[in-house]
Amino acid sequence: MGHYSLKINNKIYPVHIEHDTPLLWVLRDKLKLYGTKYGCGIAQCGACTVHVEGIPMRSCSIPIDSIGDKSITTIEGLSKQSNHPIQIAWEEEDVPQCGYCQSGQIMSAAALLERIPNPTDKQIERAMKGNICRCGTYSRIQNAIKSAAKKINGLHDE
Amino acid sequence: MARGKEIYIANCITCHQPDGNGITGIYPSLVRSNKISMDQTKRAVQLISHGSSFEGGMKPIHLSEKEIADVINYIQNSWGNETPATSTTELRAIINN
Amino acid sequence: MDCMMNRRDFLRVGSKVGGGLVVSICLPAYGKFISSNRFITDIEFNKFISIDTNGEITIMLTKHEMGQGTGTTIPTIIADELDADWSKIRIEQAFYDPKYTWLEMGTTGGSGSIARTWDAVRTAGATTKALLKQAAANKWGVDPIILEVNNSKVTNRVTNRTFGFGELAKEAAKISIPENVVLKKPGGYVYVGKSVKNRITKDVVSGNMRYGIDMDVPGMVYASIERCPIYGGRIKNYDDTEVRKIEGVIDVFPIAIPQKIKDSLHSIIGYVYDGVVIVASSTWIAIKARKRLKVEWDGGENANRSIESLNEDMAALKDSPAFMSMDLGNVGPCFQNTENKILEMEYNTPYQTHAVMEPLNATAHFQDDVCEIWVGIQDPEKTINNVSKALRIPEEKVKIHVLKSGGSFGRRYAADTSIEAAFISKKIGRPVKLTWTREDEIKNDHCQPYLKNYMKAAITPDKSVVAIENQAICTINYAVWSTKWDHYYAFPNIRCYRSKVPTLLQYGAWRSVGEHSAALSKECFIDELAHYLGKDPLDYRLELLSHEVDWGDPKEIPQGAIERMLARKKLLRERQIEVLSYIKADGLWSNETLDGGGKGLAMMCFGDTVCAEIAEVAMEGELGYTVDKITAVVHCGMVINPHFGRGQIEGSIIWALSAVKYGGVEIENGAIQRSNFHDNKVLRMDELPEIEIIFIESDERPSGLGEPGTPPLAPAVLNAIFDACGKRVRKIPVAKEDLIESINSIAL
Repeated sequence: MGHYSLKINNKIYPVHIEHDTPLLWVLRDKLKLYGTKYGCGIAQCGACTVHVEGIPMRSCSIPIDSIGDKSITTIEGLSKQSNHPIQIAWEEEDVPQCGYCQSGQIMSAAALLERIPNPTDKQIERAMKGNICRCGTYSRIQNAIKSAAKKINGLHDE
Repeated sequence: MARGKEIYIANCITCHQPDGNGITGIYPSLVRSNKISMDQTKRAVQLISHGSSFEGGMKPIHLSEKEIADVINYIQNSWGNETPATSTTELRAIINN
Repeated sequence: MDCMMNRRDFLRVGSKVGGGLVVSICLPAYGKFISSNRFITDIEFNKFISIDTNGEITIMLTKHEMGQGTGTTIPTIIADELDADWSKIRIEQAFYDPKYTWLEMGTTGGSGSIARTWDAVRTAGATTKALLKQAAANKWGVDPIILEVNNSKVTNRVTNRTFGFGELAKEAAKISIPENVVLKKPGGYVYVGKSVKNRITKDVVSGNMRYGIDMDVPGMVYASIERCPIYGGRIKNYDDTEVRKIEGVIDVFPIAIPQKIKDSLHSIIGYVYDGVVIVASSTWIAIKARKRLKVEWDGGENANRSIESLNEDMAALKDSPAFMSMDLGNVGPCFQNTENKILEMEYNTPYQTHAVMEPLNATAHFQDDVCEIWVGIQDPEKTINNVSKALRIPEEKVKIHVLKSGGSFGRRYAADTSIEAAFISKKIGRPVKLTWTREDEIKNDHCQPYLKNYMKAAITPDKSVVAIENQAICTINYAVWSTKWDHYYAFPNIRCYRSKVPTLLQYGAWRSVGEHSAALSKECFIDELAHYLGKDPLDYRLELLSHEVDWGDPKEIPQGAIERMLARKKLLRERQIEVLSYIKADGLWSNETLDGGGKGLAMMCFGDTVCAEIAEVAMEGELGYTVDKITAVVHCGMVINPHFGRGQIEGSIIWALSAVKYGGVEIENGAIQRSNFHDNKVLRMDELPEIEIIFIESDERPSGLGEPGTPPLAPAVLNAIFDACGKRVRKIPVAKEDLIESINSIAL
């Protein structure tokens, strides 16, 4: 057991927990931040994606002991009023079917646009292939990312 | 390198970390002080395509041959690692051996 | 079609506490289900639609939302008939109560949510509107004929004065249900036919959407179960010494339902694997502690079986006597005639796993003899029944809260997680959340059953198919193109046999169930026949559909089926012809050969929906082929929400393509050899084919869309592979090894 002080969504959360607990289960079981989903536990599906220092990471495979003072962002903290361009695009495109994988998809997509503001189709595929969707909303995810990129870059449809 | 980096971010970065150092005691570091040998490249290909034989070890990653080549080239030329690029053809030879 | 039900039979009006209008609805169940429903003696008061004095409308959702969108579409249909302001509608999940709902409302599946409730929910909406209109007429002292309703307002066309729904709710509650209401005609809809946004989207993007796995009951503990990896296996002994040493482990005990009780449970829905339960202070501790557990299983009869041995068992039945499920005309002589060419093929559709995104789970709280369960479930009624039997408590003492699911695709029909969670909570006397790991979900799945299908045709020297024979060997008595209700291609003589081998894995519903298995053999065999006869595969299908299959002696057709089944057969034959004719007229199917690739066509009916798909493949890539484009042409009557409709077909295609590329399961010593997404691969974003979806325009009543896109995909791809390289693959998944010969021969 160890005492940790986690910086999540710009708030400090003191936690007393086993050293090897994955960040995912700290978020869900301890902090009740249920927006981050459990999907596979081995960093293969992307449902649990959060940002660690801005980098998209699979929270199911990060032991809490290795976090230190790194800042974590979950879907709940991506924007103040769910108005990140990616979230807006997701709503406009009406992406979700069951919705379960989508917080992970959104976190991966938001981080992609931070790295590459105007990604090509191939770059989108490459960045998003770690996120599985069993409902098959992939093409809508692609469209939402492209429309968010357009908005961010101030480009508009003719 | 840019392609490899993107593949690394989407598939490897959680365990092996942004600096390639992994997490002590759990996920091995990918940073090598010596020149990377052919055996190490073969081992990397093996791990990515088939996973580790150890219980709880690395699981295979769903990547194409080209993506494997790209990501290995990225890993082998980042964080101070220096290795000549492995081509997809060379890689195919490694996979099929 | 106007609703045939007497409104007084299933609708009731009442007042809301504090003033307001409540309309209750009770749906008549279908066919044989009516008699089995022991709860309904009168219409129960269920507050299906209620309108507050402030104008807020609440619609109770009795279906389970699992990604198919009915949580939005059914309220849309009601809002349309009600002429309500969509933004004023609140949707609330109904608490499952046998008195509160009726079977058709309480079960979600079979792509039937809209198709089966279409008349009733529209009538409920229209009746509510009629009450509000009458209320306005009473208040103004005018004839309701001069009133019009839109956007939650009743307007007097003469005076232009208006009443909001809220102002009328109190008055409307005093009026009795009108004998007749007029339902809207196509063309008059406001929301139906439009891509109304999904009501869950906002919560999904903000991270506030809650699924079963996110359930939180104060004071709850967490559980994980180490289950027997073999279907039918039992627990022999276990050693939990090391587990109990772990800090945070609360309790360890076996779950092994006695055989006598097991026998009383539903064989599919109520099956629970033997296991050892670990209860802990967190999910992580419970999962981690399993590694220290030592368990010995008695695998039973399945412990020595594998896919290979199952295949042998199935093949051995080929020439054994089997149940003849259909015998039309006189098949025997056609196959005995030595002048006839006999074409015989074997097709295999293997077990398939679900890999639903939200791992299985259930939360239960057993206290004061009552067991409350929170779970995403497709069939709460059977779940209650099975939990009650497993725990030996009365059904009235089991309460189910239906939560949203992160995908289900048939898997969440089963009551297993509910039984497990209820059992654990009863044992420990505390609320508990049970979470399956991904590995559990794959290793202890209720898989799509295995089907081996032998197809045989007798072809005359002048190239006419005079008879076909089909021998379906399956691990379940499934719909496998084996009865006259499944046959639309009018061969003169048809005979079908069906036999069953004991299953090696537990089976369950998997998106498109038997139709998926049946479509592969049927549609690939038709393609083979077309090529043998030198006919175009599309034209050949049209030829076979040009007249009806002979139904044989009407005396043998069950009562009730004549009107219902024969009407359905007629509709489906027409829809198939319409779909194929559309493809032909639109030039979607041409004879031109694709450079380095091929095209394949397949079609299947699911419910009243017909879906044909054209696959375009290229012989390249690491699997030896890539699927580049799928064109789907769908006839489902009216499309309630085009965005959702396209989403369902697209999703079905991707679902089925995962099975074609990576499906099936390896089995050794009776146990599934896959465990997670690294070895149970599914389609990822970079493998997406181009998908084009066309809905045939229609005003006919809507039929389902959740599953019909799945069955034609595999045969379309297999037929395209043949077109591209001349190699017939008669099974899925399709691996490089299956194509290697042909790839080499092409290279030469």
